[in-house]
Amino acid sequence: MISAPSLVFENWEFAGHGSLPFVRPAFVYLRRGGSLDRDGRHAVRVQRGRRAGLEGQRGRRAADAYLHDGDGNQIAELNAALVVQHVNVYSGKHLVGTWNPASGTVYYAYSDWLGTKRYEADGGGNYVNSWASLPFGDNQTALGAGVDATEHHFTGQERDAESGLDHFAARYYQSQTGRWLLPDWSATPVPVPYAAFTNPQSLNLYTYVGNNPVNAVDVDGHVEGGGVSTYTAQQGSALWQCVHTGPAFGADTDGCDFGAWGVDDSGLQPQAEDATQAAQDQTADQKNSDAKAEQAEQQGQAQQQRQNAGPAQSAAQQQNGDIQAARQYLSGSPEMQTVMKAFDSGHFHIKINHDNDDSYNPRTRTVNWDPHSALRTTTGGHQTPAMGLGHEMAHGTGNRHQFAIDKITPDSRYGNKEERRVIRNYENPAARELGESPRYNHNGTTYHVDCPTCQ
Amino acid sequence: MKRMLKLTFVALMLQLAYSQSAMKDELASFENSLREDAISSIVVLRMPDDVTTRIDVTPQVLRKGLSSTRKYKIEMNQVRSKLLIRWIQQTTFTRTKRSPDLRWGLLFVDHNGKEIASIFSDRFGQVGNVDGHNIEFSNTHLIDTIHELVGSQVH
Repeated sequence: MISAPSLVFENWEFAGHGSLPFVRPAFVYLRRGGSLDRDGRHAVRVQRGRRAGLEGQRGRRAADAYLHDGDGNQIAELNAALVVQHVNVYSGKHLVGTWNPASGTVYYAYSDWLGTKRYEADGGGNYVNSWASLPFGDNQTALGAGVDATEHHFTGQERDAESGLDHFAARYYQSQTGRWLLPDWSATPVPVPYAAFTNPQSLNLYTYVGNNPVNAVDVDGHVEGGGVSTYTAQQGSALWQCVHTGPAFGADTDGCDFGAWGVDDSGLQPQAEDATQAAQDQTADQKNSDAKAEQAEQQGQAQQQRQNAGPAQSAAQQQNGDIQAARQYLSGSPEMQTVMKAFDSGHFHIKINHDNDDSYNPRTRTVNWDPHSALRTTTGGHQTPAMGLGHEMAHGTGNRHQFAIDKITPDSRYGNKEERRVIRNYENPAARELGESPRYNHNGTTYHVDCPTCQ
Repeated sequence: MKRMLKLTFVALMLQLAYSQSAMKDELASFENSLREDAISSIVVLRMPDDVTTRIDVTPQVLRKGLSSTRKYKIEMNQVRSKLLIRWIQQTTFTRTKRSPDLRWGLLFVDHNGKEIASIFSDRFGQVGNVDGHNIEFSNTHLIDTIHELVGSQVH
């Protein structure tokens, strides 16, 4: 039962311009004093004026408040007046973006395989800032002058601005030395918490992920050398899965340890199921690998057969080659990678023509594309035919309902909002990344070139 | 210096007035053709509103036709003439530098099969092209008029 909350956040949605791809319907009830409440699905933990593991050393902070969801992700930071400073949006354990309510700006986070934020873009897809660091998260350097939407950097954990330490749930981590500030600890008395006696590295309770920071991630500050706790990115998915192996000791208080070797106090899926799933995935990967080898062999035979075929088949082969060449070229842009991934899973078609017809018909879900039609922009720049393919693919992969609305919403510069969305969010970033010219309107003149990637 | 600026301003105003009057003359001529039953048929070019393109659709592109472009021919009659005359009388036309993304095209053909006028419009009926000039319409009645001309079977 929730009693008279003084602050209520309902349905944090990021609709409209610059909307985030992942909408988290959060019903968060916070009462001053920071007691625990529940919203029915997510346990919400409010840390007010303290941080776990450093309470005794640092004393009470200024009255900042943090909202965490049931997965332990920090979804909002509030100041002393309980005004929201920023809101983080996650897909699983993966930071997707940050919303700054003061400016109304949405920032997208692009992270590496460990979950470390490397690149940040605004709602319009424009570059804001990027960061570099060494394997242990040390020497973190901002490469640009743009804002840092949230302090979450190394493996997605928050870096404390005052101390430069990374706040993991159980302990603080110092990236300069690659060591924890405190030894690992367990809620129940055990000889050496989270250690495996077959692995001497695990006996050092200050080491970070067994000194293997490029391949492993600690999720909660309880890292163990024997029972290695790592987060691995699933192939083709933004979701992250917790995979545990080996023996474990003691109890887990924050929901990363499961099943046979720990007490799951978070209500998450037991480890046994995860292990089964991981095994199934592994088997599936092996099968896929075998299937791919077989497919490659068949392709080789098919290629041989095609070489003996007539001109019609050669033309078809050429068309496929053009599409492949364009896709290969576009894959050099993260934005276009996203577009192509969505396109491939959406039952779309590509129809080749030689009439300068680059268009997308949503009724037939068909992209019409001329692989020899390059574009001269109104500012005198040039774009390849491949960019035309990417442009029309991007039209197909947007939200269909939003597409219908945006297509009939006038825009003084781009004609309508749908064109604005595609040009600003996908075409221009890709053009910059691939050394082509961006556009600031929906105009241009087409001209013939010899190949899909020629300008 | 001031004199030069004044002269330039006057020249620009004269040019604008001339272009507006030229537009009026063209439309007056087109209206006369309608009144005199000089128009035999209308060719309607249509690019569906929901089809996206890499660049704005120009009159040339719409005439040439893309894979999604549809083309209809309707015979002219008294009712259709009156509809067009009413629209011309209700509407004022201003030249614009805006480049419209055209979705409708009306090509007016005389009894000898010769095209004597053309009107193009974007999907909103706000901006278009009349006889090669980009223009802004004072209202969006053209879309309604087109629908009345071609009937409900053309979307």
